[in-house]
Amino acid sequence: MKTEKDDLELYRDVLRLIKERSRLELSEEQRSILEYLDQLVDQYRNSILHKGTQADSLNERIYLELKHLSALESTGFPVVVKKGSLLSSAIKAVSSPLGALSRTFGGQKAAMRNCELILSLLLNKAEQEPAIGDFLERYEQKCQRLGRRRTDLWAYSEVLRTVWPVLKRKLGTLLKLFIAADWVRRQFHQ
Amino acid sequence: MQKDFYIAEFEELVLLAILKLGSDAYGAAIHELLEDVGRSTAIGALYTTLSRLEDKGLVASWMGDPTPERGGRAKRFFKVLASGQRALRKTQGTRAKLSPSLVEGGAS
Repeated sequence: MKTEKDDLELYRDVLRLIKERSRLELSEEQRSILEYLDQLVDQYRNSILHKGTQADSLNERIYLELKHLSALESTGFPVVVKKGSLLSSAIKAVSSPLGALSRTFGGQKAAMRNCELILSLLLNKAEQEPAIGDFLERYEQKCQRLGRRRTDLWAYSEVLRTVWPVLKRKLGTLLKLFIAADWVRRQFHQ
Repeated sequence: MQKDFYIAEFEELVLLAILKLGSDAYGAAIHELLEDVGRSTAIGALYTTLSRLEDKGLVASWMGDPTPERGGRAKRFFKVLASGQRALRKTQGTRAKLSPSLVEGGAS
């Protein structure tokens, strides 16, 4: 059974998706609606946390604003809101050739998100964007071929196999710094 | 005089993959190609190698446009520079010189 927290998670996913995938193409109007939606989602979150009475009306407002935003569709806009009794079936990700992210909603693909987070911590800034993009692309390809469970295992093994080379590189840099510092220290002592 | 670099086996494979992919050589494509030829590696590890090759001046990279199937993240494309091709030729030449002795040694 769907809960308010599920809806909140869904809204956050949708807003994140819109920001990530259409950041270059949003109009002024879409941007202002998006800002408003951010505020509404925050209020919704607070209302759920404090068991406020406004949760239902806020939920309705968010849904309507998302629908409005979707109606202002521009090229590459990633989300479309259709009529439907359940929000999760009414909001669909589109414009992805691989059907990517179509199952992102509703708190799924936790493994992908965990791995994405760990990779972003391991990799340096210059490598983060392309490497995580490559990881997501490969994840979607493998998901279609191997299924979710095996792909999740692959994703975790990717992270584990990334740890050692990254650590080795960082240790190498530290070692070089140590050798340089040692050489400078020796020069001063002579 | 230009400096020649020795390249490790995995670096050689990555350079060959970039050459084979041509203008479509970016992380995920290189990763997939290496996996297809039986040299599976982690994407993070692949980037470590690519960065090292770039530091050695054997490859160059540039950022592409963000694409939707990658969650709005940009691709980083790679190409092998002349120095990279020279290093590859040198390694493959060395390999070619040593290969016959390996065959003979195995036969005896």
